[in-house]
Amino acid sequence: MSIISKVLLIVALAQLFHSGFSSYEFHQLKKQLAAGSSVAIDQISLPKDIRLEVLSGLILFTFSVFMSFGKLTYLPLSGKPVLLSQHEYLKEIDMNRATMTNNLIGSDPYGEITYTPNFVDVHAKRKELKQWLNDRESHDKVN
Amino acid sequence: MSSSEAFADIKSPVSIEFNRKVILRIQDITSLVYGCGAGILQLESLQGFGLFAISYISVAFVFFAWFCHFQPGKYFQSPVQEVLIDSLFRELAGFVMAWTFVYALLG
Repeated sequence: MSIISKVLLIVALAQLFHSGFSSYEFHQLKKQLAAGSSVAIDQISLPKDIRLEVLSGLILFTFSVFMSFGKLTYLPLSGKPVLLSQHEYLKEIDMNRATMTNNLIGSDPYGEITYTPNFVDVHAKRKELKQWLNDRESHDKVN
Repeated sequence: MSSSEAFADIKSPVSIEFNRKVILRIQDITSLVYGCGAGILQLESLQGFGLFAISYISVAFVFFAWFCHFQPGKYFQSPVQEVLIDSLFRELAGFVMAWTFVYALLG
C-alpha cells in the first residue's frame, strides 16, 4: 500500500466518520423538533454539505482501494537481486504470456514434474557424497 | 495448425485465480463502504439500490480502465460474467448489510 493510498484512506475514513456523526446529530435534532413544535419535519432533508462530504469520502475511498494495489514486481531467483516489473496490476491469462513471468524470474513452476525429485534415490546420493568426501580427505592427506 | 495456434487457447489457472481475487477484494471493500454511505445518507428503498447499482458499475468501469487498460479479455476469460455477474449477489448482500446497520445506527 503506497503512502498516497494510506493518506487517501485516512482522509476518506475521517470524512465518512465526520459525516456519519453529523447525520446522527441532524436526525436527533429532527426528532426533538418533531416532539416540541409543529414544524413539518418531513420537508427537512439532510443538509447538502453532509451529502457532499459522504460523496467525497466514498470517491476518495474508492481511489484509495485501487491505489493500494501496486504494479506487480518480482525478485529473480538467480542473478542480481533487483525487483523486476512488467508494469501490470494483473496477470495475463494466456499461458504463453503467463509463462513469460516465470521465464523472467527464472522459475520453473513445473519443475516437480520435469525433474521428478521424488524419484531421486536419496540413500544412493548420500553414499555418493560420503564417498566423494572420503576421496577428498585421502587426497588432501597424500598432498 | 501451427503449435502457436494450437496452444493459443490454453489459459493459466494461476493467473485466472489471481485476477479473480483482486477484483473480488476491490468489490468486497467498496460495496461495504458504499453501504455505509447509503446508511449515512439515510437512503430508502430504490434510492439505496440505485446507489448500489451506480457504485457497482462505476467500480467495474474504473477497474477495466485502470487495471485492464480497456483490454479485459487479456485478464479474464469472460470479463462481464466474471467481473459483473458472478459476484453480484455477494456484493449486494454486503451492501445491504452495511446499509441497514448504519441506517439503524444513525436514524
